Amino acid sequence: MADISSRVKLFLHKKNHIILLTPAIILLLLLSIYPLIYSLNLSFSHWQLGTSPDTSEYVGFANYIWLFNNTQFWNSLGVTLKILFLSVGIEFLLGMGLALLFDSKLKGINKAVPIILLPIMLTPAVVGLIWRLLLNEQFGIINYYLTQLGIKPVSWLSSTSIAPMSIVLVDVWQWTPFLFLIFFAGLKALPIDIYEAADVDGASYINKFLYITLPLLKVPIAIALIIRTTDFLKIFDQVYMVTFGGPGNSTETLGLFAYKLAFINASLGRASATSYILLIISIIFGLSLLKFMKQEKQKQRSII
Amino acid sequence: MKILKNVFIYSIVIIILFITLIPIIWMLLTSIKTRTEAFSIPPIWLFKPTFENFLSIFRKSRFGFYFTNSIFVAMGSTLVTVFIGSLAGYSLARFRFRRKEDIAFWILSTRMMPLVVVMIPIYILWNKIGLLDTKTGLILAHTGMNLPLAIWLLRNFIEEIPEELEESAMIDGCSRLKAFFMIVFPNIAPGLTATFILCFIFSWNEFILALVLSSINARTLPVSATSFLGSRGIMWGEMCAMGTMIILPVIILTLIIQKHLIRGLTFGAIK
Repeated sequence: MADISSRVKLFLHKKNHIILLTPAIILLLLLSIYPLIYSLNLSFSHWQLGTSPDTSEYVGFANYIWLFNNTQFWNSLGVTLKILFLSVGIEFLLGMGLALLFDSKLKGINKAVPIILLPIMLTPAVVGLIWRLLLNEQFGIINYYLTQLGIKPVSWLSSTSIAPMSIVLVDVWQWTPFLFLIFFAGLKALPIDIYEAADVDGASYINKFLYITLPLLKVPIAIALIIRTTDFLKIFDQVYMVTFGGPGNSTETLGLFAYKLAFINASLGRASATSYILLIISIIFGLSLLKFMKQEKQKQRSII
Repeated sequence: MKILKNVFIYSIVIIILFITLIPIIWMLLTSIKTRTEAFSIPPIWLFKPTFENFLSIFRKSRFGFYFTNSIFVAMGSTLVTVFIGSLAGYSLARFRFRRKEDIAFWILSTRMMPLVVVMIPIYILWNKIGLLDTKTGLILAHTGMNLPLAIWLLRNFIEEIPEELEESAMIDGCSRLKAFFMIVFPNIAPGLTATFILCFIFSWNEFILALVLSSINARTLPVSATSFLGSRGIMWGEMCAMGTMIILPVIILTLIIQKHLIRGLTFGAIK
């Protein structure tokens, strides 16, 4: 008996790291990997939501072919990419501009930072709600004050060309602070002596920014952009609350398109195929982040 | 010239503060207005507040029930996440073993996945095993969503504590497990709190899984806010009261952990 218990002890001692990791890995296998495999299988099947699983049949690539011949799918893909590039682009420029501004070490300016960061953590569904209220075309305050300034009221949510811009607006309001936060922290960590040397050489502000600041901020910039991009591809709540994809399907992102296919058209196979295409796009962006972080981690190790 | 520049910077900062705060404040104001005040043009900024909307969401929408659900789901999933996450984080921080970084990055990669991809399979699986529309089902789903973040953050916090502390405790006859609970745990208390609060907020805010996996019994606050988007027009007052109740806890918690926000949002990549 004593022999076995000491052997168990020895095993536990040797395999501690595995035992500690096991619960996490089991949960992730159940909640991430199993669904991934199931979804892949489902994307090659035809199955109506609400019918028995026995009615599910293998259809090969039919769901994907249906998608590729479907104009609404291409519309959703286009809408997603358009809103993505516009939002992240504007957030990058604004975030960088604000970070440079806040870096000017003026008195009291740091007190504003916690307030500016608030939108990041706010419930996205509620943020959608707030903006639906502000952008309302009859009694919303934005249109009211625009008309006071002599500008014609904007059809924020009812025009197919402006509604996507409204989604961009909401995203920019919520996420610019995130990029600002990362750039601001990056700027504060920069060594001052390089700038002093540049000043001695008579470098202009723009040159200092282009040739010193930007290259030194390479890491935070890359991390910020990739995290924002993969997070953006998950966008669902705000669109659901602000426009539900409308008017027409001018703001229907891929996520919302998949949701509607599954829970309104009850077509689980096609929805899964759509979600898989979304997954592949996310993987392309996500993998580049992982690769980047891995390199950084190795660099840290080699310094230590 | 210098004064002009400073005035310029201060005015931009004030404008930014306005842009950040006005939308939130406008919701708060709308929540304490009467129906006519809420729709009035020009907009009213000063008025006698009424709490009718808040009373109404308690009476009409089982607000108390959804609130309890939200707290229960967020608390439950956060407790499980932080507990399991700290074990895994400790393993990745302190042990040397083959393919460690591969495992760590595999864990992180599951976080990159859009929830839309897991939504349908989890819906079908929960339906099969009777977890659909239960709080347990949502707790599990949210645990899967937050676990990668918790593992990475806690690993990051643990790596900052000198290993010698545990080693000296173990030389004094402390077991590894005891060293973990007696030495590591108290030392990462601030990090643990930050991770806890972040996971809580993410679960509290989560929408798509809660929308798909719950209908009546396990419905959480963000999803129940959609019930005011009725076909007979939107009930703005009630909806804003609901929104206010949802974001107030978030605002308070965010201010508490603002120092750790950047680390939390970048998986520890930036401190």
